[in-house]
Amino acid sequence: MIEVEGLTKRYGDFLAIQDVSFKVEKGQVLGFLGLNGSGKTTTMRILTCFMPATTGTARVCGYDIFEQSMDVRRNIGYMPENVPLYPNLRVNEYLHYRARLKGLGRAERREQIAELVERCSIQDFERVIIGKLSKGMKQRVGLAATLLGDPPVLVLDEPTVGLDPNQIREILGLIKGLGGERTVIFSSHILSEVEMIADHLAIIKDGRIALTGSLEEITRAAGGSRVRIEARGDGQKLKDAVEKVDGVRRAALTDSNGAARLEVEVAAGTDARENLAKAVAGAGGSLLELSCGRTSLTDVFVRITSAEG
Amino acid sequence: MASEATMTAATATERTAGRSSLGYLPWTIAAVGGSLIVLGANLILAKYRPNAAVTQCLPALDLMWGLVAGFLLLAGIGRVRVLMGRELATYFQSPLAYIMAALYFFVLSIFVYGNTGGFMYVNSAAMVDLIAGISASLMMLVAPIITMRLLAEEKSSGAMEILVTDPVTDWDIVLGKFLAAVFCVAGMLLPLGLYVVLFAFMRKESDPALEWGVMASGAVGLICVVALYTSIGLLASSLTKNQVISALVGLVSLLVIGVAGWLLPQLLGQISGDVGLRLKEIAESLSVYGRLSSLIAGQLDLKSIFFFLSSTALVLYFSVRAVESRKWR
Repeated sequence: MIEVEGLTKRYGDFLAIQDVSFKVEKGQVLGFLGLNGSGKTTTMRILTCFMPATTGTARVCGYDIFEQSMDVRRNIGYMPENVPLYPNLRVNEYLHYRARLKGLGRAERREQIAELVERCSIQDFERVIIGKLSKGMKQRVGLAATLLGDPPVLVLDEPTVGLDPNQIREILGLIKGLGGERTVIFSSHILSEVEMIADHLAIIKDGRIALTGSLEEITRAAGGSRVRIEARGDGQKLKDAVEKVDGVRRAALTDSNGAARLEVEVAAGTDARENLAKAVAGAGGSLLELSCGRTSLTDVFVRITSAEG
Repeated sequence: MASEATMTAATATERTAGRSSLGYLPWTIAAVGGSLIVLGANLILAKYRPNAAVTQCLPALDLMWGLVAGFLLLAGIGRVRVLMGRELATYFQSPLAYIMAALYFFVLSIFVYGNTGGFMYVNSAAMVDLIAGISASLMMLVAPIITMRLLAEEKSSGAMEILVTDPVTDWDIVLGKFLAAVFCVAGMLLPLGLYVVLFAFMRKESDPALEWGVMASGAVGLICVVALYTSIGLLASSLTKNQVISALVGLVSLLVIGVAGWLLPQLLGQISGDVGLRLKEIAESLSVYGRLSSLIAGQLDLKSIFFFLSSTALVLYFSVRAVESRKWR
């Protein structure tokens, strides 16, 4: 449904995104993950034909985003960040206006709006002026407007930003319900949200795609376990010893209250606990605690997006 | 993959085909049908009532109908109509347009009252000159204020992003907003009809006869000027996110254009010899002030009309480019 190939966008000397490529198949929900300013919005704006890329191309529903911009726009529902609506209109006036812009005939318009109003649970607010709505309500109105015209592809830019936890859950539930029949790309910088509803993930860092794949693939590839060691002794010496143990990918040292704390990443399929305990003893440390856990998506995300890379 | 792509393409076209309502047709019929009626009326009047007042101003009325027909044809484009409708609704809801209309008519009325000596003496041609001249000057203030929010607000609120990613072209956006603003500002001119009625009733036997042709031609001139000023205000709005800056830029540009149109021909005329004469001619032909004056004086020449319409179209084109500038900035 969506094929992005080598998109690069340059604002003057600033390279906003660089060689971004990914694919989304029909019915998938892609979580587009990255810190603020990493190029999520730029990518989405290019995909939705708001502005062209400097180089590279993309196809949505088989239409080229530069050559067949109108067809692409007819097939995409785009909800920008912060959902800018017209505050002087009533909810139903706004929905009718957007539906007419999208070229829906009168009967179709009524039918779809009635359905969407119910789906996004804004029945009670249909006659309310948008300026008086709460942030979460506006978000739902925005989502309903985005769904008008039944677009097969949805692009949602930070749909949960600025909402309280309850509203976030509601919106995410709504989006999750859209997957399957529609292809959805939504961006976020909060991993737990993405984990909840996305089946695929693209992590973007400094304008480059750092990682893409399905959730399972990514956790499997990152797989392995994480061992936490707390020991009394010379921290640096302990770290050196631990790093020499078989199967250890890397170790990080955090010193606290006289005891050394080590975060050790161990490759999948090896149980290094025994060897680690020996290594600590061998380096002259006395073991206080040793605990083992699985690497989560959070670790992957933090590792990719943190400055150390 | 390829077959899937063609399939989605096919369903998409089906859906768009299913969506199309009557759309363009009624508006085209209104424009064409109206033109036929106007044509018929022209022929009948010219034949049976060659000396009636209406027949005197037929050319001006025909031109006015031409402007209306153009408006109908543009508004017939469904997307333009939707955008125009929303802007008009906003104008009707907000007090700004009413305030500007009241202000305009109030200031104008002071001048008119003063110049007729409280309607003691009515000279319609002189009145057209006065009313159109003052109206054109006041519109330099009114038009930029009416148009200031059109594009600037969309940009500052971020709604522009939704607008340009919906299936509408940049021309649709600019035309929709332009037509709404022209409709709004031209609507402010409607009360001028009251003056015509007043003049007709207050005229005494000793006063000069009412010049219907001059009045109609002046109205055409005013509408043309309003269209040009509105497009310039819209261009100003397309250049900035800030409504105040938009209004100021529009106002200053209109003042500069107005003053230049009045001053340049005189200055260039000072240059001695043939060159000066040629330059003066060119400056005069490009002067808004000069073009309007000839229309107000009752010279309904097509060159002046063409000047206003083409310059309006040019400014609208620049506005479209400014909306497009998001793409290469």
